[in-house]
Amino acid sequence: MCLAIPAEVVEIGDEGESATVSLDGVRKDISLALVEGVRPGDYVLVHVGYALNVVSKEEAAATLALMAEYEAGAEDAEGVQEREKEAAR
Amino acid sequence: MSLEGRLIIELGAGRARIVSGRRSDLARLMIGREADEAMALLPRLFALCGEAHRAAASLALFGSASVAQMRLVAAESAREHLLRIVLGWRLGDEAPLPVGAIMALVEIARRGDDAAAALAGYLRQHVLGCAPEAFLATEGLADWLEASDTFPARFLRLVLAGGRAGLGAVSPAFLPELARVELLARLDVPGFAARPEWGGARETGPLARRHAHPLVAGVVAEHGAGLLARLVARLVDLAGLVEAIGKAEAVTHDPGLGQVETARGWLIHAARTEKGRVAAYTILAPTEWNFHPEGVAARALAGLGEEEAALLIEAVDPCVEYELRVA
Repeated sequence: MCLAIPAEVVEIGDEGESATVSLDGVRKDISLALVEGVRPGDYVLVHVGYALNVVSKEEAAATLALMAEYEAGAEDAEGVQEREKEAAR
Repeated sequence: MSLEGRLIIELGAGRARIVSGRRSDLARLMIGREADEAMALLPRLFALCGEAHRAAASLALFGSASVAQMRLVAAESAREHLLRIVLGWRLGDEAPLPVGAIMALVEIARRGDDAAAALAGYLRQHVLGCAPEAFLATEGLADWLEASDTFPARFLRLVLAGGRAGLGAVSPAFLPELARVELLARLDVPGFAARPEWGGARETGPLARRHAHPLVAGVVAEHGAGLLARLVARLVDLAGLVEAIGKAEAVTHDPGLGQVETARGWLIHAARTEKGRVAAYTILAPTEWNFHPEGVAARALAGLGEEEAALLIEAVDPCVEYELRVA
């Protein structure tokens, strides 16, 4: 709910209105209509294809770590369910 | 990363099918953490409505939210309403509203500066064309539309001229006030937060909050609870936030449950702590009510074409990306 994911700005597009960001290694084009003064190397919070605001590298890393923790947990939970199903067979 | 989740909305055969890919269990990341740590992490994770999540978490974990915090929640709601207008209301190539001042609202409130005055000034100049209290006291929408030539006024006139005022009108099923004990019991039921029902699917948000306001009630009486009623309810809610920011009050009650009004509707957090650590945590966001498979969006979208459906989805305002498919 209401997630905004931090991404690193790789390249600023024409006229500074768009940017290419790297999200988990995947490149994506986003709009810079809602923020000002973004530069390559900055981290921005991305929501529905828009950069919402600039965050520090440390803050971005902490948020991404939290999200990774969730994903690892989700895989664990699926793994447990799979093992339980195996055991029931 | 697929964490953000998205809504898939399929139109076809006179109905709309909504499938949510949203993660409803992200809050389990809080389990086992100290209450203070959970408090610090939640707004970081849910950065879009970070202030609303901060207030709801503070209420759920500690049973209190300060005046300053509640003021930030109201400023954030105003920002979200204005962003919805910028991103969702379209008038050809016309640039909607200046965004810099919108994005600055929450920071103004955080500095302790007069965010109510900043919002009132912005609304007068760009959105309402008059003072917010004058807008709220307008007798009928037609009076305002005649007197105002702002971007939102032009957009509403276009909706009316295009015969779309009653687009997606449905019989209202607003979420009633939720009694604490019963709500806590429901939140304990697995799956409730992903697909909430309260005597059936319910609507939360601007129209549910403001349906009794004369401007909104007048539109509903004439065109039904459809597109125009939703757009006007957002403007009424926005105008009302000037006072909400100015007169924000601290909230104190028993911990365990935090309910906060956001731009999109009720945001609810439920927490149980044991020896200062989080033992259970559930978050119920407004999008889960409004984009429930049998909820207001699904009912309103039934039978609509693609362009009209997009207008209506923007008016109901999901907090995540959506993909519209036409069968």
